[in-house]
Amino acid sequence: MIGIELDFERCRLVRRERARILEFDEGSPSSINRFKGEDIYICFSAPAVVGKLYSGGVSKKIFEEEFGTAFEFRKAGFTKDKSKYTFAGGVEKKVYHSVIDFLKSLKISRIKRLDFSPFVFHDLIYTFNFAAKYKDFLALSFNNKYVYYMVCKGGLVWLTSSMESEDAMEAVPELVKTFFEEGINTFLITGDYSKDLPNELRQLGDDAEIEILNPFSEFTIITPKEVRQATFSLALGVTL
Amino acid sequence: MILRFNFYPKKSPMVPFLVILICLVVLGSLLFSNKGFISTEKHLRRPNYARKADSENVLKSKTLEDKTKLVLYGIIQVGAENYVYLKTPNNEEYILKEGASAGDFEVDVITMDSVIITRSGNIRETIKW
Repeated sequence: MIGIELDFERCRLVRRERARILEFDEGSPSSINRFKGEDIYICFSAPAVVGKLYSGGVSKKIFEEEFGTAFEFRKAGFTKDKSKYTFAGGVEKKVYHSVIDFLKSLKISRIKRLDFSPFVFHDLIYTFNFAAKYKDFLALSFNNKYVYYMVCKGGLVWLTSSMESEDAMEAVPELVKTFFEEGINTFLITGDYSKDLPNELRQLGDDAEIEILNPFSEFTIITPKEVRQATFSLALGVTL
Repeated sequence: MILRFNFYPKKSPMVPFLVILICLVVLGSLLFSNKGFISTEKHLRRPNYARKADSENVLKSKTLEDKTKLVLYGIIQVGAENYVYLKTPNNEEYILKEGASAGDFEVDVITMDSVIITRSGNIRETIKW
């Protein structure tokens, strides 16, 4: 199967065969055409994507009223410690339809799943037990256009959202500082972050803990290992 | 809690159902129609001699249908010779004596109430009043 992290300009892909990684690649979206007959899992990076956890249930109407726009809406319910929760995810309608039109124009033969980056990032946090291990933390995923952030408290992801990468150099330290002041001192980072970022974040607080999320640690890498694996986190995440 | 959201638009479950339904209707109508491309008669094979006889019958009946085109209008006696007066649906008229021919036929025998003609291919026909 092929996992692709895609936006309107670029794509990153991982070819996976069970627990083996056979290929990493980066290129233009039109190159996806070469995978005819293969199962494609897409994680789309787009603006105006938000997810929020609610105690109990939530309707689309309530969700849309809260964020003030019309969404393509999905939700999932679960129970933890006898309490019911619902995680609701929305992609702004206008953005959603432009994504679908874009995918149709690429003429990809077998799309098995289309998800959006904040929700795939959300799944990665649970799949690799980071939520249960660190309980309270801020998770950050960097890509060439967006930075996705996720607030986790009490072992649950309460909010996931994004911001443009252009603003990230200013916004990320501010975001980290805010959460640090609120008592969160664990920061989880993945994706296309700069080498200096972990040190920069550590300087914001003496006891700040920076963890790197690399989901590839549990896979056998067949392809040359020099590739920066964390960059492909979401492309792998969508296939899990 | 893993979400595994799928935002890819699902194909309407009605679409395959409708396609199957339309296929069944079309197939059914072809199967049970007399001139369908799937004929049940094809599968009920008959012996060769029976099929050959059938084909001959078809040929005969077709020829007979052509022959009826000639209508006997009169038999004229001139001395010792008999003449027959025949007409076609196109109002072509023939007055012929025995042994004479016209068009694709030849008059063989003329009696008082009928005439026997032979068409090309040696197919004989009796035309009565």
